[in-house]
Amino acid sequence: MLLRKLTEAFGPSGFEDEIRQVIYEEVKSYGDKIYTDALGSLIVETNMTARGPKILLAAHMDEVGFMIVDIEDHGLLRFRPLGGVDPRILVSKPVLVGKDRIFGVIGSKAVHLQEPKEREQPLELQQLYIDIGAHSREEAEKYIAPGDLAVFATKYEEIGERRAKAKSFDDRVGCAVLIETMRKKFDLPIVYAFTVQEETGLRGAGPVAYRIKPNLALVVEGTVCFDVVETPSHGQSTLQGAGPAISVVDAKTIAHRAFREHIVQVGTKEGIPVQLRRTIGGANDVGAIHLTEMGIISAAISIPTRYIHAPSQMISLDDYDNTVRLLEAVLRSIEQGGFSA
Amino acid sequence: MKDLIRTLTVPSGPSGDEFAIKESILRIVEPHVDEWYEDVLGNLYVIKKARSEISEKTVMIVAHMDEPALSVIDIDEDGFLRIAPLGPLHAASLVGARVVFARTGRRGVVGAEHNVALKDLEFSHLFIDIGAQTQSDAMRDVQIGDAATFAYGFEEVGNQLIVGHALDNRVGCALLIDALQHAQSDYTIVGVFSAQKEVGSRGAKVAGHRIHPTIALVLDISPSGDTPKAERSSLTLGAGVAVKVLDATMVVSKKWSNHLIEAAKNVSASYQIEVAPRTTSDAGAIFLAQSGIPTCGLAIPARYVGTPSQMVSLADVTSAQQVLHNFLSLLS
Repeated sequence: MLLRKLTEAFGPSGFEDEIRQVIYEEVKSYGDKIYTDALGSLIVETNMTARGPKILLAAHMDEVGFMIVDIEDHGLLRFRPLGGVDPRILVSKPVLVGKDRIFGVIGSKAVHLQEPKEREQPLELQQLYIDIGAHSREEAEKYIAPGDLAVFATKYEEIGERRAKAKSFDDRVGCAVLIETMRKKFDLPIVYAFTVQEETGLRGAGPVAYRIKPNLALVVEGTVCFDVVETPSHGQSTLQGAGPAISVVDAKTIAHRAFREHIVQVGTKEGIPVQLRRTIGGANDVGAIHLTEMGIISAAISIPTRYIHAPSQMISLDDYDNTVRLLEAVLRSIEQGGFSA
Repeated sequence: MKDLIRTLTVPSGPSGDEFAIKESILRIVEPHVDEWYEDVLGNLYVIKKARSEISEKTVMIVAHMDEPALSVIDIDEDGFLRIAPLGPLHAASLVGARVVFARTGRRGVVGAEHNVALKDLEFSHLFIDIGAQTQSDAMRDVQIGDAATFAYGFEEVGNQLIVGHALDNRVGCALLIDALQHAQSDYTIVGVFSAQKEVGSRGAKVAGHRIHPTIALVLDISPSGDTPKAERSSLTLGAGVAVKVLDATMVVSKKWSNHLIEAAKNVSASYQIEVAPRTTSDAGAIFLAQSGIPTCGLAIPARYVGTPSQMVSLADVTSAQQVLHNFLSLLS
């Protein structure tokens, strides 16, 4: 199962080897030319001699994770996040550490031992550590060295009504959409890019855009969703189950108006539910792509993801299916000359 | 110049949706230039060929035409619009502000939720009231992603001072238009009315890459420090155009700031030096483009930047105009 395979693979920003190999196995029979660039992004070129605008489809394959920076005398591991993680969500979470993926837990003082004042304060990164069950530095060093990585240990599961939870829907869900799209045939030159280091500052996408020089770029993302109790409409950003969300403005991009409106029109015409992303917070690879060279017409299509950048992220499988449908419909419309760069 | 500036403060130019101001600028400059085009980010490029055919050198003059804006992120069932800022705006200073939507011209007022102290006010407490009764009523004129800017008039205050909501940076646009109309140079002039400066000089970044000129000059507003307990600044209203030496985005090579100072001396224009470590401009995005671009700048000092009532001295505008013309005529 594609979403399980992709979300359970290991790949914190800058260390995407495992997830890249997993994706490579999925895509190797579809591309005319498949390669990895200097930063580590996986690039799959298809149908490059076809007429029509050259299209870049991008999804980042890295995930938020942790780097081990020190081992304490008693064998506990100090760590720092790679990417934006709220330290308040870390306590007691299971993680997988190092190249052997050994089990660890992010520990802290039990509630019984905390002073009343301590209980009122969220724990800071400095107070947290990863416990891999080692009783001394020497024992821990047999398994782990500073510079090793860790990710949340969450397994993919389908729950409730057409929902799924996993550790890294941001943005393995986008990678899955790209892989499914690649299996369809388009009479367009399309380059699929699985980018690196998005979570540490959109670093992988710019060099990809510079190399490919596309006429149009589309990024598929997992984006914020907070449609939960007592959140007013203007605080939700997106609604789970209401279809793919089209970006209007975020921290790094003001979307290209004609292109984003075209995407919404295609969705409406094909009977695919779409929504607009209702926040200016957050950013994605479009931020780097659209400013490349002389500027590139770009848009972002996102799957609403509750509890993003946390161990158990949640998506609607209907939103996923509708994103796959929408992306195909948009590409068909471009194929038929419905939107030109 | 005063009338030109007045004309340019009328159209709305929210970052990312600059079509209205762009159209006004184009209408004025088109008869004076050899060529024009736009790009993906919304920049307007106008080309005025060198007076002789010999030189292949280009000077790119950049003035951003956008202004900070309020982007609609949600429309509630009663027709109130929830907003988020595009560019440097402060929530508390917006309560009661009158705004206009660039796309449809629909007007509105910024309101705030009642139970929040002014000092705690954030954008999530603000909304725009466009006088709509329902969500569907509001959506006839405004959609999510539309942007509104301040809607205030242009006034003259005291002697030689002007006040307006978008003098930052329609004053720079006016100076660029004036140069395209009247200045002579042995360099081809590429005028760039840049888009999306207020959200991080995004237009300037791609303009620098596209044009890769011999030299770039940025025209912008810079906050002055001559009001009671103002933030420290070397700039004073009325003391002349400011020659950029340093801002938050770049340090200007002495060679080029000295050229501008020479130009000021040549025309006996008063000038001052801009050392503004907290002021942003398009200069930084341009000089890092491609293999690097020599970049300099002229700034017009202004009071109350970021508010609906920005104040500029016409004497400084005149001095900028003279310095720019002389600088361009001496390029060879």
